[in-house]
Amino acid sequence: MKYFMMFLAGLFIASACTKKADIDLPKAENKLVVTCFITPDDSVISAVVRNSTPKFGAGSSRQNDQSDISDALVRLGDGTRSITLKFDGEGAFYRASAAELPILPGKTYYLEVSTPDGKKASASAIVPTERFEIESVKFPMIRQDSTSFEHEISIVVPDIENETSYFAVFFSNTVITRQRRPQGTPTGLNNNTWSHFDSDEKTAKSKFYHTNTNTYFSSDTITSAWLDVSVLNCSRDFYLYSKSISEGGGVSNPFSDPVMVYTNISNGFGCFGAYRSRSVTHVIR
Amino acid sequence: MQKNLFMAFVLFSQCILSQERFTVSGYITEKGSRENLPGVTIHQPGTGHATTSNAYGFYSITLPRQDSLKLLFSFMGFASELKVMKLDRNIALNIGLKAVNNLEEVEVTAKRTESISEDVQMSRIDIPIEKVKDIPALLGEKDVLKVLQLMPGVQKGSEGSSGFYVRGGGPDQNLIILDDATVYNAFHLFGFFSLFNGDALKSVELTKGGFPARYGGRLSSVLDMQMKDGNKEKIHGEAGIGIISSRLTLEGPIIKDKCSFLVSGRRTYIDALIYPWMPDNRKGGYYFYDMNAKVNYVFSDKDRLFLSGYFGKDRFFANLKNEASTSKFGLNWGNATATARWNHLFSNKLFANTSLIFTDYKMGIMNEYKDDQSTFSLLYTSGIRDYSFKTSFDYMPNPSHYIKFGLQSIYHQFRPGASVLKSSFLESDFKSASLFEAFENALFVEDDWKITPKWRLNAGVRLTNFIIKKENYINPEPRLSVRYLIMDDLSVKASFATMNQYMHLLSNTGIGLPTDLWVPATAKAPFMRSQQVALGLSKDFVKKGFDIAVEGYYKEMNNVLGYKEGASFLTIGDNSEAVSWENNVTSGQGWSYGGEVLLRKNTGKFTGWIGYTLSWTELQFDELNFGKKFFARYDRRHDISVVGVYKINQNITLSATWVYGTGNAITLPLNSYVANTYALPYTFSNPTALNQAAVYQVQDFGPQRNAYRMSPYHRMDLGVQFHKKKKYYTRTFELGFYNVYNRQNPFFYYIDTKNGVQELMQVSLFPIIPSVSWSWKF
Repeated sequence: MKYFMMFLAGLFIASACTKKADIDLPKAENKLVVTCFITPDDSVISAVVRNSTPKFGAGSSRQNDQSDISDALVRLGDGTRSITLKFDGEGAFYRASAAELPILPGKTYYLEVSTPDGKKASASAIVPTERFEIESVKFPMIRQDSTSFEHEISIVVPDIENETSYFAVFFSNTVITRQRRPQGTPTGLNNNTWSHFDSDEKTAKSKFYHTNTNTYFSSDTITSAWLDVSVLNCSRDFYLYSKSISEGGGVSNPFSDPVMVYTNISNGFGCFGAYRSRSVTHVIR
Repeated sequence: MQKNLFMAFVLFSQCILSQERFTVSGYITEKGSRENLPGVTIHQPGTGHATTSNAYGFYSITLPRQDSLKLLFSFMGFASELKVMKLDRNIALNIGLKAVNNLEEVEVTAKRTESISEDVQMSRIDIPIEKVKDIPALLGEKDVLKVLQLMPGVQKGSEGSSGFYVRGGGPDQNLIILDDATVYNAFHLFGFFSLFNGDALKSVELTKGGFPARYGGRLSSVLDMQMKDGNKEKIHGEAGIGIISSRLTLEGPIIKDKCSFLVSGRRTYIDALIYPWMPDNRKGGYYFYDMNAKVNYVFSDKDRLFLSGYFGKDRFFANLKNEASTSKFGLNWGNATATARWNHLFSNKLFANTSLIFTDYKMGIMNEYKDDQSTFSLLYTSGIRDYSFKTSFDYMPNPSHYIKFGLQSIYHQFRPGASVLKSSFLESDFKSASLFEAFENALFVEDDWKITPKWRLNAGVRLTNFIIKKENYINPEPRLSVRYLIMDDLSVKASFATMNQYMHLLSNTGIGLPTDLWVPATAKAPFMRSQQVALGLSKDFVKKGFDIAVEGYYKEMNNVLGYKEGASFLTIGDNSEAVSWENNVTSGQGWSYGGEVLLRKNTGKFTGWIGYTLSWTELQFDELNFGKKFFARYDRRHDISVVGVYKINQNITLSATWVYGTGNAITLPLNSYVANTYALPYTFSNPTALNQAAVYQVQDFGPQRNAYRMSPYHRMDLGVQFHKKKKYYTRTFELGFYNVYNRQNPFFYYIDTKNGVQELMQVSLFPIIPSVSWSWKF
């Protein structure tokens, strides 16, 4: 079916006339791409700043412009005072210690980024108020042998009454394997997945249940494996951005409508988000 | 005082009693062919008493006793007939009206048909079939649906497509009926041509709003088409040869004045012409054919039977061969409909039509591969089949009321996907199939009530019911149309209609591809509902042959279905889990509002119309565009159509159309960047940890979905017809030019890299295309 539709599309292109489009579009320009996720549960505040490139027009050939920007001024404030995040050349990101500007639940923070060539971007984020706990995490194993395993994950999180809460579940599946013959050194592999759900503000005290199947296969013997599960209670912007990225955002397919990528950065792309986090590590073997 | 009152009462009662009433009723047909004529006005000059013939040509008018009753029978394109009679008993009167040529100057002695200012119905378009034949068309293939696209409030989807959008509703929201049978996929050749062969059609009527209660099942429009019954007096035929297809229609009596038939067929032949020239190892082609057939039998003036059917198929195929392997690919789709209708007169005031209806749409994809080591074959089919029963009654108690009531029951079989996979690698054949069964029922009643000469209304209600699995929905649909006659030829109209739709069409393209899937409303994909109000002004310029209608409308649509971002019919088609469509769709709301103007010239040597639409269509889905409102792809701010047909003399007809439309709304990527998202830090206490990681290159599609516009669409078509009357037939030669000024209209856009720079490129489908065709009428 897919090939047939491609054949049809090819037929149209081959038989039809093509010319440069003459439609009104915004000026093609590169913008700042800023990502910064703050939480009271971490000791470091970090941000990454990059450039975007126009999809077409003169700037579209400069793909290298998308690399990290190291000379930006990145300032984070809480409305009364602000700090500057300094570029960490080794890690290629801007960072500051959370001790310089404590990230507190319920508080609004403001991020401003500017570059020497005059580009400016800004955003704000509200840190989720409620402290929450993961009520339970279950990992029923469906099948396992020496080279593969398959399990489900069930997570129950208490709802926060009278408000819509946004949750993201982050699974990091780490597997260490070793070649059977000749016996090699163990190698590690990470398999990360996202999943999202939001609560219904009309339902008080409801609980959320999530299930997912996680599978790992290898031609090598699995020596150890574990799963890190983080449940994030997110700000709405962080939730929408993460969800759109994890659902394949920004990738276009001629036979479907594109998944739009959310941004709350004014004059730019990316996300300034806030979250509370709870983590559990489950040793599989 | 009391005595006076008593006397007045007695006199009044005697007056009422002495006004005995009698009914004149019968069938109205075309002289020569005896084809039933719907929509003929029967009018008593000098009074407000009037009625119209129904879809089967039957009329009934009940009036007080009178010595000399004059009744004028008039219909557009036919010479009026004035009958004078003494009305002292019920009279059965069948009338034959003579068709007149547009060139003949017919004296306008009275209103020749029910004018638009008189009619209570608004938002309705009647397309005279003869007009369809006059208007130039792509490759000379005359198409009813493409003529509809030239009307205000009706928009085409994309270049060359027959699919249409009515007042912001999607193609799935149009109910297309041929002789009472629903047609689910009305397109040949991937949407470029419609199924409907103009030679076999008698009437085409599109309702965009103010729906009478007898119609239901779709949100946005009803396209009701009637096939010709077949000439009852003599054998008659039409034949045509064009670039794409040839066609032949034959009609005539089987038993004179009792029983007649009509058979009409079309077939394309490009496949037959090119097949011999293709190399043996690469053969392929495409064709479509369709056939309409109808038989009717008049048992008596009280009972008539009609049997009609449509059958059509499109087939695309490719066979590839090399030394090691052979492979075959095929795609075919087709509709079949069959209708048996029985007209019965219970009395001269009560007419009944009962129909048994069958309709079936089927699409199949076949793929076979064979080499020395392996074999593989896949057959995928989908479709929908209906069995329906419908009975409706027309009750005409007096000239002030025309009551219609009835019921309809449809048994739907939805087959969204069935696959059979055979492979030498499989131990056994893989088979999957899905079937959803549902019942859709409706009861309706409506009354066209002439309250006073100035006030007239059509009020009704339709009670709908849909049963699927354990779900049972019952919804009343109130309908109301009101007309107030400001002057004899000027009226103001208003209407309100609620519509429910219990099925969805899954389509990414909206252009009528055969892969579009019909699915039932379910709990996850709930039924759709619309509410529409319209207000309009209608004015006739009787002596000049003009009329003008101006309308404004506002429509709300609930539970409109859309694909989730990133989901497509390819995902569904490739997935044998047939129910997966429910996980790929999402429900939202729609709003459509705007204004329409239609100025028509209906008589004389020069006829045509100018249509203008100003409209907005917005959608909102919780799961799309981050929950924000956005313009629908087919939102079109301005849409203009100009159509002119000029009959120079009996032998030459010139025609031209010009259309303009604001470009479709599209989503385009404007920027690309490397996106970071949350990643588990190595440890939360590590002061150098970064809680994010680069994911991949993403594209930014602008501030919202459908934020940009394609280039405006405009095009002019020209045609000239040369008619020659021979002894036994009339021959017409037509020369046509599609897109005469070679406008490169956008079909779609893509990004191409030239000299290291990416450019947005536009693909246009049809440049100037000349066409020739011949037709014969005998």
